[in-house]
Amino acid sequence: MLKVIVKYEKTGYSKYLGHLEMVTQVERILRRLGLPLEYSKGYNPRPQISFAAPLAVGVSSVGEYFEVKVTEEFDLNKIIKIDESYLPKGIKFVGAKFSTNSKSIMALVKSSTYIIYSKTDLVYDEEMIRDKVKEFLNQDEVNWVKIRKKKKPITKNIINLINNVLVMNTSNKEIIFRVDVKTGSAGNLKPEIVLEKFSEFADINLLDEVEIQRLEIFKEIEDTLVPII
Amino acid sequence: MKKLDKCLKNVQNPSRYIGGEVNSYNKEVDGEMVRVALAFPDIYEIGMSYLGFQILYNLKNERDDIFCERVFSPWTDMEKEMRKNNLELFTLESKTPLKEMDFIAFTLQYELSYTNILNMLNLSNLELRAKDRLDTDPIILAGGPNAYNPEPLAEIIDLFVIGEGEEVNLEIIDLYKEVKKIDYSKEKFLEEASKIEGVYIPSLYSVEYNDDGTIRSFRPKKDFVKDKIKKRIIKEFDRAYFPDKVIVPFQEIVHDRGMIEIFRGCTKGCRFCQAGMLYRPIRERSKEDILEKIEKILNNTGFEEFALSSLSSLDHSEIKSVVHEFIAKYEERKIGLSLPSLRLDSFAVDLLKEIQKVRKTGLTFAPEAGTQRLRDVINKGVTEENLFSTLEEVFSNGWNRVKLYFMLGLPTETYEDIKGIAELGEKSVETYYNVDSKKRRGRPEITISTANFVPKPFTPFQWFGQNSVEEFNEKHNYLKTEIKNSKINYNYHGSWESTIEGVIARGDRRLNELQIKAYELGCKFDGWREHFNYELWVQAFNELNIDPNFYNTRQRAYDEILPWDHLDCGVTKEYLIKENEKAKEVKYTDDCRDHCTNCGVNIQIIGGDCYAKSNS
Repeated sequence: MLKVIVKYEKTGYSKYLGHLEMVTQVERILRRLGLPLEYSKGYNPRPQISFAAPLAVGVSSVGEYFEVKVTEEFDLNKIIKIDESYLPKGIKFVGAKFSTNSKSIMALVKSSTYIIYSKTDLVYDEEMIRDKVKEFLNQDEVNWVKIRKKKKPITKNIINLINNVLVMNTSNKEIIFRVDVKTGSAGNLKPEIVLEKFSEFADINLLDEVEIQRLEIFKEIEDTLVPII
Repeated sequence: MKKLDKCLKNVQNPSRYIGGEVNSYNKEVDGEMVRVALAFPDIYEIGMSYLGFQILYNLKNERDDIFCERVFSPWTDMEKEMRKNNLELFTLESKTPLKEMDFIAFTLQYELSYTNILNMLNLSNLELRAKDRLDTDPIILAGGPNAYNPEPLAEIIDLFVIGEGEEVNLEIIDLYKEVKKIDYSKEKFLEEASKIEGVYIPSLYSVEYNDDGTIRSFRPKKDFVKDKIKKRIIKEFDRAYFPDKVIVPFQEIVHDRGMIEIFRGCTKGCRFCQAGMLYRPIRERSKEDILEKIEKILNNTGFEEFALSSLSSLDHSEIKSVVHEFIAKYEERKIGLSLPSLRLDSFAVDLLKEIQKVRKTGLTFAPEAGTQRLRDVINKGVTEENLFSTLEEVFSNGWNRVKLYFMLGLPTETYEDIKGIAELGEKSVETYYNVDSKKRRGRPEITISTANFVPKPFTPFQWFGQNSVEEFNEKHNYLKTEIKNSKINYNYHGSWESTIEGVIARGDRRLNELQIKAYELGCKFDGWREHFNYELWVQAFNELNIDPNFYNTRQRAYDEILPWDHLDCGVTKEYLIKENEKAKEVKYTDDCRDHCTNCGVNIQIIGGDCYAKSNS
């Protein structure tokens, strides 16, 4: 089985494209490039595309991935050097690689890194925030109540799903965090939950206006986290 | 955070509002540029499905001195956010407030979208009534099939385009640039524009009424203003503008595929069909032209499906070879073909077999009426034998899901005719079971769908008194009890919706205030069942003392001045009267491809034989 893994960015207004919309967009872009796609069988033949890890609508990213099954190798410059008029505004293809791994791309994913820009009501001292982050990460338990549709809410300890939190900068009533969390089928956490729990813990009043950007998605090779391609 | 981001974070389907799709335009704005917002008074998914919308968008944007952007009705969640955050309605491309445009050009496709026009003006902080808007405000323009009765919007819209817009839109913009150079006022521009063929400026005409409410006179206010406005058509359709690319939409839009208009017009002469009368004469695009455009559009979009669109696509004189060549060329690329309007005959089935090699779709047929007598009244040339032999072939070839479309409330309809619909459904199921069980597939799924007949201007039935809400309800209930087979699924349109549609369709100028009142009471998205509120409409009728029956259920006389009589669509009133009389006598009128039926379009509009070109 031959696949191409493509790394792409989703910034600007394109962050408002939903997952299914991205699937259709990618399908049409790949068709237009005339790549040797492998189609599914049946009455509605489609190219076989999978995305590494779903990205919430409204979250931008500079490190997204999808893979697509192909029938033969071709010049990857077709993808990497794609004319930008072929792409919706804000979408960029930044890398591509062939793969024969029979495991799906989703099964490889272990963690993701995000940058969170959050507005605050006051100006906070950067050292104080850093100390609070350390204390926050040293806890044995961070309990998060998950609200579920038509089911009872459940409480989950999420401390093991948080790999790291760093304070990048504080200024002008804004704190910038870098958050590393587990991603994928073995454990998955949304970055905004970390932010929510931290603001509770540190008693910081974060305003509703949060911008989140995913920086990278990682797989694990010999106990080391490395980008997907 | 920007206001727009605040809104987008809190709505469903935010990509309806962001623009930036593949093949959309973004231009560096300079002071000289004429800026147009192409506006569709419904949501993105609907507006983006109209081919005409995409044609006009590309046509204007191919010119460097025009920047044409798009705007749709924001869905109610977005509207709420916009009002909360004080964000005016904006264009998708450059996010510019509509108020800063030179033109806002609305597409009029259905009556129940008109309150959305009012809402879009309001969300742009523009006055609803044309007379209250300033010289600095954009010119509000409207066109599309519903512009053939402009009167219910005559006090809201500044300028109507009657007929095909490809040429006249650019003429209007050129004139605007000229008038801007000298000393611009809206009044001056509109007066000049009224001289362009196909342009109707409602503020230049006055109406007087008789005591019984009918129109006494409809007259130009100034002597240079013409009495009748002739529709515009593209005479050399083969050379008519058609874009090489279309926008690849976000969302799953209603018609999510490439499209090409293979011909314009229709020769069938169905008496209920407004499009069939308005879009005359028939003009075909050649096979070579069609295939060349398809290739370009596919290469520029990556669509996985393509539609050959027209009022009756199988009637294109080269349809068979178009389909064969399409399949041969694109089968390997897994690109499917769809034919939106199917005939009931074996020719259609043969083509379907060819098409389904790539992708299989459900089938829809439109017998329109339940008995032969009524089908003859409406001039729908379909026999029961056509229907069942087609269904037999279709079922033998592995289809099991079929939709059948009918209308209720047609002229001369009796309960026998309605019963006939149920019987056709029943026989369709029987036809399925009579097919060799090795050939058929699954189990039969027949859907019967009825629309309520709404008489439209410029049709032979334009004088007919529409059924009342009570009559429609009774007919729905009757048909529901007559359809007993569990293999048949029945659905129908709401009676109140059809009543409001009917009132506006044949309405006059007095309905401007009615619609403004209804809008102020809270009406919008009237075409959406979950938003349509007939009680508010009833309240608006009552408050303004307007009787809906005057517009709707009343049978009109041939000598009455109709609100759209000042427009000339080419088909003469004499022809419409003749056809209406033939309907009463249950007399069939042949397809005018075979011989001319003297509808008038050749004399009024072309000045020659309809077929002089397309048959050569």
